Amino acid sequence: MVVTGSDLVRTYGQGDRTVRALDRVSLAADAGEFVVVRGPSGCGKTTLLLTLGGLLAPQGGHVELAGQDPYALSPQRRAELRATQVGFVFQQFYLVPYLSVRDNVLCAALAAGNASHAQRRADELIEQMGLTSRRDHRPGELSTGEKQRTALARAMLNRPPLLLADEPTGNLDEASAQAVMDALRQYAASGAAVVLVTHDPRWDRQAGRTVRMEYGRVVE
Amino acid sequence: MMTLRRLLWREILHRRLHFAGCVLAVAAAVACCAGTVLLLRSFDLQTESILADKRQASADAWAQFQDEMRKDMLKLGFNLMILHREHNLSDPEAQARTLSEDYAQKLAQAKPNTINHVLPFLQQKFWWPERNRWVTLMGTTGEVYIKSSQQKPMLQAVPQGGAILGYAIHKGLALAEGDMIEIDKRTFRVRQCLPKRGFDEDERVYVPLRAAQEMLKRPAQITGILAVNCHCGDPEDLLNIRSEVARVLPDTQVIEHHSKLLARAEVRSKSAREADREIERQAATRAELRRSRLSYGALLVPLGALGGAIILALLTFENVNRRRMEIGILMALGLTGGRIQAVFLAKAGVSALVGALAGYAAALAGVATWAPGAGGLAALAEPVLPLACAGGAILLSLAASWAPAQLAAGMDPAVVLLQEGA
Ligand SMILES: Nc1ncnc2c1ncn2[C@@H]1O[C@H](COP(=O)(O)OP(=O)(O)O)[C@@H](O)[C@H]1O
Ligand SMILES: [Mg+2]
Repeated sequence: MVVTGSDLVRTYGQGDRTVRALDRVSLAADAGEFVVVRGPSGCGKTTLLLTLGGLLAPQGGHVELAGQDPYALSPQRRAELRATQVGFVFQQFYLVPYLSVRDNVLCAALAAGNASHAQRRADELIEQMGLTSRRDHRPGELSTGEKQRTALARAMLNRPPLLLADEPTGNLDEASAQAVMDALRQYAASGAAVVLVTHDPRWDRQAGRTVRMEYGRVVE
Repeated sequence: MMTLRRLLWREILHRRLHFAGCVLAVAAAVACCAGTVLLLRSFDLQTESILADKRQASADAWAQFQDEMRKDMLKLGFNLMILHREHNLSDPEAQARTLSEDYAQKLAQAKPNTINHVLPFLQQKFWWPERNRWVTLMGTTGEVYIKSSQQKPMLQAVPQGGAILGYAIHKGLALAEGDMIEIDKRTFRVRQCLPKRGFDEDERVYVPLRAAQEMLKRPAQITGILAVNCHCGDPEDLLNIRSEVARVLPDTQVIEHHSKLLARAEVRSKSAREADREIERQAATRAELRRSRLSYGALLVPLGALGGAIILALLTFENVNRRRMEIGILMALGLTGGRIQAVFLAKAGVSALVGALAGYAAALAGVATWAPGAGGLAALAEPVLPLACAGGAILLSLAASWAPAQLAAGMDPAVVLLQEGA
């Protein structure tokens, strides 16, 4: 397994206002697998992704990422683990506003240890995402579809074994959304584990496996 | 290649106004500090040059004073006459009281400060039987005391067997140099015929003191001493001469022929003294001005530094806050807090260097405006100031942006991304 989360518990707030975002959730993804986690807004999908990706320590349960428990590591080592093992894509893209498309993609190489092949890889991904003519544009000059493809290229730059996508198509039109889904499926097919969380039932068919979540629990 | 340095430059170029604000904050702080130092230094340089001018003026005044006094003295000749206390000048018919001849020696040995020519004389109306007329017989030795060997005697001694004739005498009797004359059965050779001097002096016949004493039957006696009371040093010494002479030579009176000169000396010495006092006054005024400037500086420097630091801290906080999402995603991509912090501290460092340059330039421009001329010299006189500005600016910037950079480093990417996503 590339990633395994078992009996994950995460609550927010205190007393009356306690929200159980993850209530003993278990989820695993293997190399080459494309898992879709579907559930309504607020059911804990983003929390689950951040926990699996080594960004948010669970209050209960256990995460194993590339054979290690990221939360048992020092913050430095955990950051390193993220840099090399995980790619993230978010609904809001989170591109650095003052960097070009190419530089945004290369941001993934900032932490992962720079190598000249990162540049070649960036150019390949930019071409693959159909962004060649947008290479030197800033995020503000891009359409939402182009922004998300830039974010995707950034997530894939270091060829992470695990790619976590949080509603990547939420802000996109049909065609762009499909392009992103195709790229994700393709990435899974190349041997990585891809976990996509969405509220949109459209993507069920395209997933290798679909898991349903409600109120912080996996229901199917 | 993508590096943190590239990230830094891209951000600076993207948010130029923010960067300009940081630079301005540092520049203002540096300008306050460097400006204060440069202004004080240029003030000191001005003070030095002003005082140097005044000192020169004072030295000139004293030199001119002494030179003029010397010239006056030369014109004046003997200006002091020391006579017996009971010698009545207003009654020429009265029997003159004489002094002992050794008084001249005594005075010379006492070496009074301002007397440098001492000439004993014996003078009395004398009937010249061979020529049937009254003359003033004047017996003198050479000068017994000359203060400085460089000084020429004021009056040559009358050589043994010689006589010097006043204008009225040689004109009236048609005598010339080299003529032999007889006075009361003594023979003298005319050594010099004096030009017209006026009144009493033209009626004089100068002979050696010894001869005069014998002719007037006053052995070892003198009428008085002629002296030159010179103005060589302090003009106040002139005023003390009476008491000094009285101490050395009892039963004498001092007659001064230099009241006009004295008055002029006093005026001149006053103006020379005034020049000295002007230096002191000027020095005191400048010192007072410097103190007040220093106290302004003592206020301005910490205020400027503190103000700059606060503005820089606020601007960095604003920068960190605005870049939350960026920080969150970079951390999600595996950047550690330490490297995030480094980005902000590096930005502070760059602001500091550019700000130090701008601030130092502004300080120079300010000093050049407020203290024209001295500004460049002040800058040259403070060669390490630019380095100190750069170093100080970097320390100030790092200190001011430490807390916000720490805040950025301590951000939890999960919290940021959850919030940004909400
Ligand atoms: N920082 C937080 N403080 C309090 N409640 C939170 C916080 N973050 C998320 N939640 C709550 O936790 C639940 C799960 O959130 P999230 O994982 O974002 O769900 P989803 O991504 O499925 O919409 C939601 O009810 C949300 O309101
Ligand atoms: Mg969500």
